[in-house]
Amino acid sequence: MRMGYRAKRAFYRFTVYAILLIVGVIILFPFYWMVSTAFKPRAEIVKRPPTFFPENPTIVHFKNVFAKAPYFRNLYNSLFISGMTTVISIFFSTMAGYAIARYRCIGLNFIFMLILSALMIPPFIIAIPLYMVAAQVGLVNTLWGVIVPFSISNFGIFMMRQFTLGVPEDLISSARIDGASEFKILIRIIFPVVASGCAALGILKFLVTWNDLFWPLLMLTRDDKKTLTVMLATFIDFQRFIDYGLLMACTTLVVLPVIVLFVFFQRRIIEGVAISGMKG
Amino acid sequence: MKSRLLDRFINDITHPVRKWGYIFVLPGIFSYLLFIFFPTLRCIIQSMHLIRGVNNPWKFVGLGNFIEILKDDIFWKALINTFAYVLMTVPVGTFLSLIVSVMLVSIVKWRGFFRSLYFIPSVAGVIAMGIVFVWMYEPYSGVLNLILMKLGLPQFDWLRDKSMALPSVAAMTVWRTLGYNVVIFLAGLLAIPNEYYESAEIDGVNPVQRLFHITIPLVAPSMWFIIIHNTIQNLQAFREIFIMTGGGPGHATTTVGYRVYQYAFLYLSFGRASANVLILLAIILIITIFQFRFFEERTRVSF
Repeated sequence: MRMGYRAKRAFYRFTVYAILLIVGVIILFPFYWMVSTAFKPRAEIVKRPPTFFPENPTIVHFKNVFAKAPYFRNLYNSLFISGMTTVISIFFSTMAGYAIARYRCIGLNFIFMLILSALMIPPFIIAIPLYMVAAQVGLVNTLWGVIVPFSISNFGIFMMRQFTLGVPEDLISSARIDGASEFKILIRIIFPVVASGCAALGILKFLVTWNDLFWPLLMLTRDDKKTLTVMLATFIDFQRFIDYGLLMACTTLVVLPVIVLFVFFQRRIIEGVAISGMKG
Repeated sequence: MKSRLLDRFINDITHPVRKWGYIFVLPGIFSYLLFIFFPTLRCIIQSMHLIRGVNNPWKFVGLGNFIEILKDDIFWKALINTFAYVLMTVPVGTFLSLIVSVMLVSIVKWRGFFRSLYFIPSVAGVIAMGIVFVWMYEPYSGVLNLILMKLGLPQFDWLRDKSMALPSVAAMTVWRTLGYNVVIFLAGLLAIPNEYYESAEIDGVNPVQRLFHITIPLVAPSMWFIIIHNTIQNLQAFREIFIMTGGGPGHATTTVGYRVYQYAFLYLSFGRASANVLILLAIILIITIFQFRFFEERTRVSF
């Protein structure tokens, strides 16, 4: 009887691991196929049946990508836009969220309602009029023009309000008694205490901005101003013959930086996503 | 009454501590007005004008844009496609990620590893993954058809076949968003106290009963979040359509979000695009409110 139960459990566990492994293979396979295609010479790419592993690996596609697109320029643009958006978002969202959560001023609740009510507005609504204005005043093809409008999000303010609500009142009032200025309290007490919330918001903001398309696609039309995502999206004209080796090499190069970031910060990233889901 | 509010406001804004509340919230308000409030207002005004290009004068047409859109067959096609896309992605995606999460909870070793692994597509982004899937969906040298051929199964021209194109894009989305959903589900599942499962095991409850009678009711808030989040996201589907099909073949994968893009940046008809976007907003609001109501009733269980 006892053996039967144990055997059943062992079988169940084995099945679970097997299924999870199969799901893992399904998740990873497209990445493998992308990289392996990127290293195959053109003749091998169209061969049937395909070679699972590149037989005559070549880096010619990667060379072509560097020849056709200002890759490092685009990488810099992506890092600059995502990084700046993240920093601005963390700082001002925490500041506003803290004010709404902890100051009993008249009107702040009303402002909070306004911010909440705008949570569902699709970015399209904002992007079209803003693009028209940006085009008229000459902000198209500037990195700051991409960064500023979407950096302080109402979602960020909402999230940081939730986090600053949890800061112990004693901590704030004793600092006040010690004569700390309000700004000093914000910098020295609030930010360190809600650091995990800031990290969560920052991670989400960075990933969303890095992979954003609609807004930067409108704003960045010059090759040397494009982000990696926009560069990739406009790299090949799908109406014509597609050179898949070149395309996969380009995709590999675009995906690589975020995957490297993910490998280094995976714990924080996953925690950040989980926290935002629970607070939202 | 009004003067009392004003008095309190003056009192607050001159108070040495409380005035900082206003100072801290100021950049947020500024950004809200400049980048949410005014653009939305301008979008509503634009929707009532005929606008060709950025620098040309506007012509007032009242509700003309909306009427033209409602008379347009492609709009209705796009609307049906958008709903179909949501129905193809959200239920399947939620269910699959729930099953995977439940499995992950039942193991201890490698749990974090699998969770990180499944999350990689979410990090890599829609555009990159969309392009990889375009390559895998290729009819002649694409790997999917080659596998199907080996297995003796029928093959398709996935993205150029009218009935297969939208499901093929949806399959990519389900694949891509699995990891995100799993992360959210796991956070909810790990918060369930173990006693529920222990007492269920003593009562001899089988795994299927356990899933439907214990896990799903207790994980309802996470599920609710995932369903609403994915519904809102996929109602706005644009990037995957842009990169994988360009709305084709015919208009088989044109979504409302893609229609907005077409009007604004292919036809430079910004008024029509604005009207289209407002219709999209209305759809999102109606569906989200409906979902909120529905889930509020369902999740009000006390335990």
